[in-house]
Amino acid sequence: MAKIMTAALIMMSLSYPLLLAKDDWEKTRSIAEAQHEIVMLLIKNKQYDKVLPASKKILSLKFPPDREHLLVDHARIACAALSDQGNYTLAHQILDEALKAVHNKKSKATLYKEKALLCSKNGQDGEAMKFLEEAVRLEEAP
Amino acid sequence: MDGELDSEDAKRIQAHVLACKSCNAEYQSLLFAYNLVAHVRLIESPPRAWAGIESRIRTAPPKRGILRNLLFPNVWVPVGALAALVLATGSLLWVGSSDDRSQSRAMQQVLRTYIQERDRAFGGNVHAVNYNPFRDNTRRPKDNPFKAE
Repeated sequence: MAKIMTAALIMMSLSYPLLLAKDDWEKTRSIAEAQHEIVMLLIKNKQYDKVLPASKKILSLKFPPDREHLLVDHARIACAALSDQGNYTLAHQILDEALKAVHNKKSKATLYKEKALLCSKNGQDGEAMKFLEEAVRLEEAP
Repeated sequence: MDGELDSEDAKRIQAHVLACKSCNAEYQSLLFAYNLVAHVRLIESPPRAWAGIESRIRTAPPKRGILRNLLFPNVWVPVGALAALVLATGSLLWVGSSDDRSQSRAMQQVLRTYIQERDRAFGGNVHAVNYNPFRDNTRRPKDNPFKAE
């Protein structure tokens, strides 16, 4: 009986950091989920001065590397909405903040492609080419 | 030929010319020309001819009329140069813009592919979907907390 109890205690102690990490992630995810809705509502209502600070709240959250792509998705969705409204400057600012927040090369490459797309839509083909080249450089890097 | 040499030199040269084939040929050619000139009759030009030539040399070329200058100005050289310059610049720009166009087409193709990939990732057009990347889709809906499981 004592052996069983000891084994159970050991297993609980081992799984505790995992449970704690899972709990932390759930908290982070929940904040990000709500904050993303706020960002999209602000864009919809054209309250542009509040968009970047609201987006920064998401981008400053501690995201594990394997979930970093969610930050990229947030930036892409916000940018698509902003470019629909012709606010390319703010879209670039969000992408720049996202570039600071992510560390994965693939994530950075995707964000540079999004910047290239924005530039191309805005008739800045030269700038678009530079961002595309940067994206390709990151994708090709080992 | 002209009798300018003394008899000694004349005899020596005559003997050489008779012996040397190339010198003999040259001598015969000179002799022929000499005889030809000797038979040409010289004609004296009339004194008035020189006066006419001199007056034509000293007279300035006729001036272009004012109307002719206005209608047909002598600007073809700079005009030609300008046209050549414009043509050269135009062809350079055309070649440059052609490169730019092909580069732009390639870029647009890459971006189109990127948009397709992005839309696929979001399960539709990113502009149309109401997608929250942070939403946990694995959780059960909490519409009614009292609903029997």
